[in-house]
Amino acid sequence: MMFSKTVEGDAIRIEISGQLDSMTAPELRPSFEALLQENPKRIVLDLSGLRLIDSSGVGAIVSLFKQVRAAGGAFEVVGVQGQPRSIFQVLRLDRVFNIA
Amino acid sequence: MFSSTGGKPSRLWVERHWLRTGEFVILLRVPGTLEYRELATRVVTTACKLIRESEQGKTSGLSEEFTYEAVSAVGEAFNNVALHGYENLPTGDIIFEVSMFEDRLVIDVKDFGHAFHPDNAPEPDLGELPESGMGLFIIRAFVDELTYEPGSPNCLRMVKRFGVRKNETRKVE
Repeated sequence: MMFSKTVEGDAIRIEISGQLDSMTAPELRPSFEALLQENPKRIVLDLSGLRLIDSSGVGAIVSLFKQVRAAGGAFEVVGVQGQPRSIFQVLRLDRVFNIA
Repeated sequence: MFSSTGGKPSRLWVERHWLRTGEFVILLRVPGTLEYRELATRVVTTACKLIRESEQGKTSGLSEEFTYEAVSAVGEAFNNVALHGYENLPTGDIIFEVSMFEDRLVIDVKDFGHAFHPDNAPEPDLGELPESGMGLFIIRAFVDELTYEPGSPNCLRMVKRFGVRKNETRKVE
């Protein structure tokens, strides 16, 4: 799993690639906590490089989404495809994140 | 062959046996820790590739969605054993038997840990955006049949039939 962060104007773009699962999701926690400290106005989560996700990975993303939203920030998910797309659809997160 | 209590997580093996023409079973035995989860999902990915390239797979028009769903279900089943099945126990093994028959893929996941009762697991309220407790829901949604036999080993059986478009016919029970 690879995690990267880029500031684009008032938005912070996060890219997560590889495999986000019960093994790797806990590794994201410090990065997410640091991110929330910045009080981002808008998060763009780019998952175009994500090959596989499980319920633990979904839990990490949903947790971040809830915290960003609670702080008044906007949250956008882009690039979901393949197996992660199937998971997002079955959990109805495609509607939550407006994934076309 | 699988009568061990699985208390020594030192074995790892993969075998493939042909049954009848076009039918096979792949056996994978690994320690029940998350480090081996990816190996299990890769084995199932490979099995699905073989199925999709087979005569039955082509006739049934199996898409990549079939692979995504099988891999997702197996990953969640592995999580359940590694995170809960062997909780407060010496880590034992997980055995996967991935069998392709004429009209279906059957995946048995066997372990020697705590038994659980799938019917007792609460269904997540997706509207509340849960952060956990979604594993069994995903399994149920992505397979056509799910059975569980407690014992030594416990056995979770997942069946995916060819030619069934689960996204069109799925009923999440």
